[in-house]
Amino acid sequence: MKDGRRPLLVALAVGAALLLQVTLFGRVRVAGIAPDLVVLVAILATLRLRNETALLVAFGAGLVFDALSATAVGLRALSYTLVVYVAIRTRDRADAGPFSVAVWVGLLSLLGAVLFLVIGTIFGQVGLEPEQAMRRLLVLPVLNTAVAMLLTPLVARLLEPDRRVW
Amino acid sequence: MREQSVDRTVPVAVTLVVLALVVMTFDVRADGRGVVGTFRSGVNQVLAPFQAAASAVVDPLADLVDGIGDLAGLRAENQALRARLAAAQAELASVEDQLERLEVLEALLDLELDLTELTVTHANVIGRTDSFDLSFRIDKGEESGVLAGHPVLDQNGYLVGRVVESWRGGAIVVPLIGDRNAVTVGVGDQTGTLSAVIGSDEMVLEVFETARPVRAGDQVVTSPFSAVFPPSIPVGEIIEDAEPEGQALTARVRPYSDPTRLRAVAVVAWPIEPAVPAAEGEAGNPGG
Repeated sequence: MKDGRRPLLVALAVGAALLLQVTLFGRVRVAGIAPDLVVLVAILATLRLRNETALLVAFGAGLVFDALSATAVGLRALSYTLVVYVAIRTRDRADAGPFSVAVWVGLLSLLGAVLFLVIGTIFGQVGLEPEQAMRRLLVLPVLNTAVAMLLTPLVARLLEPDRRVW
Repeated sequence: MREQSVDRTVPVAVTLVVLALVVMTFDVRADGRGVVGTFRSGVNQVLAPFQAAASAVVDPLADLVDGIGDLAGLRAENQALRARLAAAQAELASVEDQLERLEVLEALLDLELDLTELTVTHANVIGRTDSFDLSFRIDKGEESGVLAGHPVLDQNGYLVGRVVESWRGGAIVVPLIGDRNAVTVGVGDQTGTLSAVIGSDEMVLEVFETARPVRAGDQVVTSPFSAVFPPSIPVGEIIEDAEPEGQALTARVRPYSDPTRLRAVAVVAWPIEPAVPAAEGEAGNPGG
């Protein structure tokens, strides 16, 4: 696939993830918690995008997601950018198969949730009780890992149809 | 292809981090207004039609999942509702008696109650954001007279929260249990402030002066002293008995409305503003 089409496809995937996040996963939750599809797509995109493009996608996706919520604009943009930076630095160890990628996505989602909570608390945007925060930190990465198991082959085929993947 | 002649990953990452911090600082300082507020409104306006279309597609699926999940709890909920209905009917009988008494007193004193008709806009809940944020989106906005600050009620007339952002075609509502602003409320003849415990579905009532005990089941309603909400809207009930300590009283309150289960809400134009022209929308259903 031509490099120029990948960012467009990723932008479409991020858009679809945003819509699903605020519609389907706005209602369907596990223990009151929904997977974070947007960060999941941003992380998976690092496997096939140039570093700078992946960072811009994460920042843009976070910014738009912020605008759709009541928290400060920039909060998710910041945490997603940092998560994708770590993803770029660690992806070579994860890019071995759907299972390793899913676990990698889960760990990065945990990092994203921690960053969101810490930065959000500093800026007065998030104030969870320890028990509530812990529950979210435990459940969200597990959900993202499970969804990543399903989505990873699809995203890989979408972004690199010519290459035999996993 | 990941090979690059010049690796600009770190400069780009640092630039984006700084940019995010600047944007966030502006947004927090401007309290959601200014350039960032315009950006937020623009994004919401652009995505509103797509979100409505996506909702139409995924709602049946979500309904199915909801139905399966709720099946076990429906029987117990049904029994509880029957009990509440019986209690409400008894209360209604008592209220009817009091109304008759009021009519007699009004006639005697030649008084008229100042009932203000408020404009109420009914809206569908079309989406939420994520697990860290309780706010939700509705499908009515500026075109229907829904503006930031307007109170939001559920189908039972219980207070849900307030609109924090609106645009043409939609708005964001922050429920009481996710709001950092306290609400001035009344319980009995006492006035206090009701604050959210972020992350919890309970709230805390604080009465600071001449506090008297409150009992489990006492109703908490919006106060006439509230600058944000109309008076006498039911908010919740005291969870357990609480005694004052000195002049102050602290009690736990369970809001009546569960913002995670709302499918439709009513937005009240409050404080009272000029009515939206009829041609602009379907908003104006006068109500209480």
